[in-house]
Amino acid sequence: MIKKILWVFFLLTAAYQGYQSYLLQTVPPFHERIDCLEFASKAHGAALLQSWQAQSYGGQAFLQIAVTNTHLDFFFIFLYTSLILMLSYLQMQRDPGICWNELLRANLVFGALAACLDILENIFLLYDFRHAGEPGLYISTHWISLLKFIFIGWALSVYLVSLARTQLFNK
Amino acid sequence: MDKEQPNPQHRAALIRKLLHNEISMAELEEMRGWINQDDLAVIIQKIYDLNEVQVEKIAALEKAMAWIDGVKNDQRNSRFTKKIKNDFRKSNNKIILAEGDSWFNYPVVLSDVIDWIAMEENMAVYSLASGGDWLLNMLNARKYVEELSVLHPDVFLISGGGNDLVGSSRVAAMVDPGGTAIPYQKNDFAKSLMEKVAKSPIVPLNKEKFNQGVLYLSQDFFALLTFFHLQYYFLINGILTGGTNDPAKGKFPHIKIITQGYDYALPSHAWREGWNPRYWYRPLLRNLGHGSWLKTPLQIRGILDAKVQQNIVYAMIYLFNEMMIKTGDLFCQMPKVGNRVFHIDSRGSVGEKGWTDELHPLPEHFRNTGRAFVDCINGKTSIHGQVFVVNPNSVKP
Repeated sequence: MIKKILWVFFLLTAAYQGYQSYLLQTVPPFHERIDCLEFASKAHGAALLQSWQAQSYGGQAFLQIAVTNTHLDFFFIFLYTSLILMLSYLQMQRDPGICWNELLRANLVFGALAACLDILENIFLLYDFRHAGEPGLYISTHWISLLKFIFIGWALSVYLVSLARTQLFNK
Repeated sequence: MDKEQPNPQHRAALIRKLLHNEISMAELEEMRGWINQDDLAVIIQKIYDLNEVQVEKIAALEKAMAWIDGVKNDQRNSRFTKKIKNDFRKSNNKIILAEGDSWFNYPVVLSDVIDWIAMEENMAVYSLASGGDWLLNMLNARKYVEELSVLHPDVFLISGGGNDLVGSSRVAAMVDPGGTAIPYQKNDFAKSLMEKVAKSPIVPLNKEKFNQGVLYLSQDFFALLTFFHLQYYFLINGILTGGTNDPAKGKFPHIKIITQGYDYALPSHAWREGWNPRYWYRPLLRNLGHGSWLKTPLQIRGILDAKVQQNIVYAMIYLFNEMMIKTGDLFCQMPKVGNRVFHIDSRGSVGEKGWTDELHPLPEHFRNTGRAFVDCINGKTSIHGQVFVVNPNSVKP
C-alpha cells in the first residue's frame, strides 16, 4: 500500500516538475531545462539564470518557476529515495544470489547518498537563484549532480538487472 | 494417556530442585509429564529473581522494535497470501509457519534465515518472528497456536532462547567468576547430554574450550538450560499431542517441527572487522546492542580474558544445541510420532570473521543456515538423522 502511494505521488510530482521544466525550456536564447542548470559550468549557469530572470511568464519571472521547482524537488527527493530503498529492500528478499543480495543492500547506501547530494545540490541552486544577478557568486553544481546521477544510475541498474535475473530464474 | 497431576507440595519440591540444580533425570522425566504454563512462569520468576510483572516487562519488546518487526512480517505475510491465492496448496508445496527471534526476523538490513527460506518457490512462509523476542514471550503470547489452527502448516519453524539468555544483561547471572565447575557436576541433565556427545558427537567438540568454558557456568545457567528443555518440550508436546503426551490426540498429525540452536557467538566490543566495503553495514549495526549482550555482562562479573569469554559462550551454545537435539529425540522415540522433530545445527558454521555483531551472522551465513532448513523441509536425509548440520561452504554467488 505504501509503495503504491509513493508511486502515485512520485508520478504526479515528476509530471508537474516536467511541466515546469518544459516552461523553462521555452525561454530564449538557451532553451534549456532545469537539469541543464544542474550540470552547467559557472559561466553558462550564470547566463542561464539571467535569461530566466529577465523574462516573465504569467506575471512572474521564469526564475520563480525554477525556485518553485527546486522547493518541490525536496519532496521529490523524499519520494524517489523511499522508492529506491523500498524496491531494493523488497528485491533483496527475492534474489537468491548472495552477490546480488549484497549489491541490493548497498543500494540502501547509494540511495541515501544520492538523496544527500541532491539536497546539497538544491541548497546551492537556491543560493544561485537568490544571487541570479551576480554572476561572480554563482556556484556550479556540476560535480555534485554528476555524482548523484552515478549513484542513482548504479542503484537502478542493480535493481533492474536483479529483477530481470529473478524473473528468468523463476521461469 | 492424560497427564497425571502431582500434589502441589511434590510439584513445588521438584521445581525447587530444578532451581537448585539438584534435579535427577528421573525427576525431570516426571516433570515433563505434567509441566504446564503456570509452572513455567514460576520457574522463570525464580531464575530471574523477579515477579511476574517484572519478568514480562524485561521480556517485552520495545515499541519501536515491535513496529519494525511488524512491518517486515506484514510484508512477508502479504507475499504468503499472494502465493496461497495461486492455488499453492494444490501441488506438493510447503506451507510454513515461523516463530522466533532475530535469526528469523532481523529488521531491514540483513537477510535473515526466513528471508532465504521464503525465496524458495515451493515454500510459503507465514512469519510471527520478532527480533529481540524471548522464548518466554512466544510461549505466553501463544500466537503460534492460533496460526497453527488457521494455517495447518506442513512445517513449524522455531528459533528461541537466545534473548532469554542474553537479554537485559542476563549473561552476568549465568556465570560464576570463581570457575568451580560445581554447578555442571551437579546437573545430571547436562552431564547426560555430554555423555552422549562423548559416544557419538554430531558436531566436533573442542574439549579444551568446553572444559574451560563450563567451569564458569553458574547454577542459574543450568537451571535455565533445564528450563529451556521443559519449555521446548511443552511447546512441541502441545503441537504434536495437544499437550496430552498422546500422539493420537494431536491436531496436526503430519506436521514437521524444526528447531535451531545458533552458533558460537563471539563476545566483542570491536566496532569493525577489517575494512571490507562489502560489509559497510557492520559498523552501523554494531551500534545496536553489540557488546552489551555478551562482552559487557561478562566484564561486569570480572571475567576479562577474551579467550575465557569465548569459551564460556562456546560451552553455553554447545549445551544449548545438545539440549535441543535431546528434546527432539524424546519425541522421535515416542510411539506414533515418528521422525517429525528436526534440529538445524549451525555450530561452527559462522567462524570468527562471519559475524555482523555479537549475535548475528553475516547474510551469507544466515543463508547457509537457511539452506539446511530448506533441505530438511524438502525431506532430504541427513547423515545425522534428525539433525541437519549447516555446511559452512554452501554459499555460491
